[in-house]
Amino acid sequence: MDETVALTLVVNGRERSISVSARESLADLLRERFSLTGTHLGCEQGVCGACTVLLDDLPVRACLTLAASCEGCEVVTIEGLQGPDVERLRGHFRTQGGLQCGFCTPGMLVSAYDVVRRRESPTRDEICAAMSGNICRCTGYNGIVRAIQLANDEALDADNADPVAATTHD
Amino acid sequence: MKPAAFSYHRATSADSAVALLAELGEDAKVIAGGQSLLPIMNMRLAEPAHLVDLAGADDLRDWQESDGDVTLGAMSTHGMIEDGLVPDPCNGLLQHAASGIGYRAIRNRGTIGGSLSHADSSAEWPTVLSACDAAAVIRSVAGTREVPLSDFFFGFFSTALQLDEVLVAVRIPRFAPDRVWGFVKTNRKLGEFAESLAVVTYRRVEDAVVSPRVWLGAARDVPVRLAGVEALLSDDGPDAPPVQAVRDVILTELEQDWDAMDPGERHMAQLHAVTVRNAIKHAQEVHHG
Amino acid sequence: MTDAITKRPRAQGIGARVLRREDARHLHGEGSFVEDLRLPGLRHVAFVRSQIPHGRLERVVVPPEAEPGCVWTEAELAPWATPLTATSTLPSYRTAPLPNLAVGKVRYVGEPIAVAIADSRAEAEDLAESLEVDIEPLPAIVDVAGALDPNATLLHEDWPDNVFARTEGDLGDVDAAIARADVSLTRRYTMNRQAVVPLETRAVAAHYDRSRGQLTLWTSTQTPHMIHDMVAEQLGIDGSRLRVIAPDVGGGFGAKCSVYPEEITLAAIAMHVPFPIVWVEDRWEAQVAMTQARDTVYEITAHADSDGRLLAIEAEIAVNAGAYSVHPWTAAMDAGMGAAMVPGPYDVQNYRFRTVSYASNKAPLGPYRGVARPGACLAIERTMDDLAREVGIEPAEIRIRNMVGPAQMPYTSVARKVYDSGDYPEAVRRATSLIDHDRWRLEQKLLDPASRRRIGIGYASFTEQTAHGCLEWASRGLAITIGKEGARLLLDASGSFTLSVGVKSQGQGHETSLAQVVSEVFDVDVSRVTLNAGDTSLTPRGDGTFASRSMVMAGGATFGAASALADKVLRIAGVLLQEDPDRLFFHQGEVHGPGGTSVTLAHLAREFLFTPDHVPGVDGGLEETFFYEPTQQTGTYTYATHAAVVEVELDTGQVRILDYGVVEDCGTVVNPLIVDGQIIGGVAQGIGTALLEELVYDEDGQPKSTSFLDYLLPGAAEIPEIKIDHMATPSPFTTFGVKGAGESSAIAPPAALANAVSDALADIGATVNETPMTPRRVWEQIQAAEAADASPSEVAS
Repeated sequence: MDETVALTLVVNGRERSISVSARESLADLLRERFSLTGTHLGCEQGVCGACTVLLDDLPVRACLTLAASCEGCEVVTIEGLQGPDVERLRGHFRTQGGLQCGFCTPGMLVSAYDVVRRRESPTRDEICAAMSGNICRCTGYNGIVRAIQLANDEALDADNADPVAATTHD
Repeated sequence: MKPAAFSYHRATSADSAVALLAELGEDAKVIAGGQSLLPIMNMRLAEPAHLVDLAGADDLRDWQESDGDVTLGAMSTHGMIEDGLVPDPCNGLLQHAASGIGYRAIRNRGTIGGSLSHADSSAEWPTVLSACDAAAVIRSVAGTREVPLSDFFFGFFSTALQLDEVLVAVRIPRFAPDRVWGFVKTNRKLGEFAESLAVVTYRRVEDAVVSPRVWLGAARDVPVRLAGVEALLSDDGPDAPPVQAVRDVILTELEQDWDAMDPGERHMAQLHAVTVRNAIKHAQEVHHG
Repeated sequence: MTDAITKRPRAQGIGARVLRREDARHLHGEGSFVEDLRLPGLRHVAFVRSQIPHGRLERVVVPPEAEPGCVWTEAELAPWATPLTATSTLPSYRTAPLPNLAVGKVRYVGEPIAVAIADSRAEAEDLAESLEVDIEPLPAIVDVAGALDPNATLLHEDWPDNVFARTEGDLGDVDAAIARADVSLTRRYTMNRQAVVPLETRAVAAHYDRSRGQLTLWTSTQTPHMIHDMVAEQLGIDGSRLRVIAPDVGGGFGAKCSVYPEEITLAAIAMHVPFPIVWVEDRWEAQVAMTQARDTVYEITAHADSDGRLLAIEAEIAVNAGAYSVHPWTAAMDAGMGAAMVPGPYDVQNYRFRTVSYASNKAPLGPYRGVARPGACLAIERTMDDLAREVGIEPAEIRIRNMVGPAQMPYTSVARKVYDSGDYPEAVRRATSLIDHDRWRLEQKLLDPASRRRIGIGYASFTEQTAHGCLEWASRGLAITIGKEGARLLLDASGSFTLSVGVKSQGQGHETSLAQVVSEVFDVDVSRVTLNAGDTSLTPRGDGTFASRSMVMAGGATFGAASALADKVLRIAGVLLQEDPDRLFFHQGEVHGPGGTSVTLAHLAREFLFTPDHVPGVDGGLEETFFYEPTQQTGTYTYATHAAVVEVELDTGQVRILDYGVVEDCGTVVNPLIVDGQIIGGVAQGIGTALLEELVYDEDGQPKSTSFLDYLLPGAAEIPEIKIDHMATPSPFTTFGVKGAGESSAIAPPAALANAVSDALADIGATVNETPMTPRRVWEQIQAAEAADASPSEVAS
């Protein structure tokens, strides 16, 4: 029998207390125990990015994070990802061909959200560099990069139009 | 690709970590960010019986500053360094080097202490911090000691750390205001581990190069100091020599014979030469910038 | 087609840029892949796999404390499942069974030896590790020299050698052509082995419901019906007792359309254990055991006149087919296709070829986007460029001179393929403008020869057989002749449509594009059409999604079913509206009469289904099934010219793409958003083949590229913005004139980029004829040329 560790953490806004196996990854905790199967496993080596989630508001590889290390942490998965920036991204991913099979999409959106919420003005090359940790085998990336550019521009415009709302953005 | 079973121990501080290590004995490993260790454990190439997790050791995320140096806690992540959330005593070199480590999601977990303890010579910190004359601050239940990084790395995944020791911090001397740096990482695609990694720093005193440091990663199982290239810079000034000249010096330094090398080895030597040369050029750009 | 269907424009019909219905769930993480399946009592499988490339499997020792029924070797499995032997009608073909679990020998690292079952994958791996496996190593075969060596160890000991098959052909009068030739060039091209890497690995789950005697198999596959038929056959059970379900599939690209031993094994075991089981392939397994791709060597000799007109081509092709042949493609398919594609889009009728498909201690070769065509394209297109240089004309010009022209369509190639339609030379012309050829030639001229960078332009053209039919597959020697697809369309009382098809999307957007076909007929919103695909109990038997066939085949079948159903609906409407059905038409979800009368589809259906006596004279049922094949069995030909501009760093061999353009014609486009996605995605994979991806095996047959740390995939920074120019020449043979679009853009990038690199290095006298064009390979060619100071035409390879 695997040794277990008691763990309390917040997942998509909800506090969870659970006993995990010492060797259980955050990805397996989310997928197997919480049935949050939107986070996908593509390599378990940290390269492909399909498992990217937010841990204490930072994108991390759920496959290279032990569940037990997440005591007291806040996790946001694709299922809990929301807000105006995310909705802009979702909309543009659709119109720009940012997904095909959908397997990389959850991790891709988490990383894309991290780019847009910085409210910078990245060039195409900078967006590509920021997204270099998310592999897509289907789209060839052009649509994803365009979607992020559009969402980013829209977010900046929205902030300029409504500076008060901008200070309270996600 | 799931790791073998192990016992999990959560350290609450540096002291609790070394106490745990002393108690657990031989088959215990420290886990910092896990970005180097967990891939290996997932493949079952490492199967420690015990893991001591530093995630809860908040004191390892602190830093101290003095006039002469900055000491970064071992659990400082690459992302914290990239984002300027901790002081950079090296005129921006640390921030620049951090930003090229893997991918953003890796940088949010990977730590400076973990990277040094893991001792992969194609990673950034071993070579960069060696070039910065940094020292590893090491603690055990017996106390704290310091080891200059030039004496810290023994080979791949092999360091001066004893089984019951934890690397708790890195002490980095401040660069003089006139010390410039160049940093170049050569890889086949963005985010990948380096095929070659070169750091060049020196004090630029008018047109002269003073106190150069030239270090090369991913060439050997430990970072290598290229004293021959340092001499070239000291003698001839900051302009980048031709690639062939740099290559000849590196070959001598690494005790390699061009004629005896196969095409693959020659290409690697060529890459190192180009990388070092580009780092020299980069240092000039940083100076002009 | 009647006026009711074709006269009025459809907002969401053929050609509309409809946003994809499938996107919503994936954008919210609500996709449903095999590994997301949750069943009560589900237990996990880990395979014990060979770590030795070639050896005698002496024994497998199961620890005595292992839970009964939780460890399976071939001894336990054999009574319940037989190994599948891929067969071919090619006369020279040698067969060998593909073991479900290894017995007697192991023949590649990754070959399955035993199954371990536990409550979690981690515990299953613990159990797998506890088995003792004794293998006596044998010498490993890794390449053609090793395989064909007369003293080579035999992989299959009942064979006389390590050859799956040889083929040859001598067409036209090659020798007479050679005698007339002013120029003859011989070149050798190597396309190294690579992995397919769908981002979702394979996954198989199986559950035997004893109360109903039904076995359900979930598998991440492109071909659910094919899996259904062969699993039933290998298990010796009635097909009616088996249901195969492919839910969301995270990419396939050809690596998920062969019948895998893991599918047969899990299905068999599930019938003899009291719990459902699941196997989720990890990335190591995927890198060593999923079918692999490319690994070909082409030796081409092209004979031409002094104007660069091709007179004859000779080709020798060697394909490393790995340790076993997979069903249904067989180890010989790659070579056969390659031989047929060497003549390319060119008007040449003298062609001689020889192929050998040999065995080695690597995972079996299987299809991967383009299959043999990228290798054939590299070979002929590099040769065309060298020929152009030899006779002193631009590479674009030599293509235009040699291409089959629009006036020659349909054109029967020397390989007996019928190129059906299109303007190949026009694609070349447009490609030169797309990347601004003249500007880059100027940049090349302006470069200082002492500079350590070079710029090059490369083109690659091809024509691609898509949606081919039974005769074509038969000609390849396959035991199954794939050629038809079925569709069933049903209209229900709520006015919505259910479309059931035998193909299975792995990202191609069928829920949208096939719904557009229904919309083209009925003028309904695509949201009112629900697609059933992937479940063999719910769909008409079809062959699946591969070979760029789905839009043609399933689209044609959907149109057939929709047309038949539309006829019936109009007859019902005729009764309800008291009008002549020939005067009725569909408009925005309704049937309209000439005088302004109308009835909604919902009302019509409800009326007909609930109270059929209100509609006398019309047979019952509001559903139609249609099986379709195009009128031409050798398929319909998509074609393109790709153009690449690169910068090469002479000091390192690093290649950077400065510009990339595609001029393509896949006939009538159903959904431009989806087709553009396929094109860009294919180019990205082609760039991976050209510059990055290689499965390296050491000389002992040990795989070295077993994780993404070693096996480099293109990321966003490696793929430039791809320029696309569309031509659309409808196929004369298919519904709506559609041609296949799934694979094509993966075919040309290696050739276009190799041509660009060779163009860049022309003044140095270096060329690159091997992929991936790693910096090391490029630099070695530069070094050799700079040392020799040879002129380009003397550099043979």
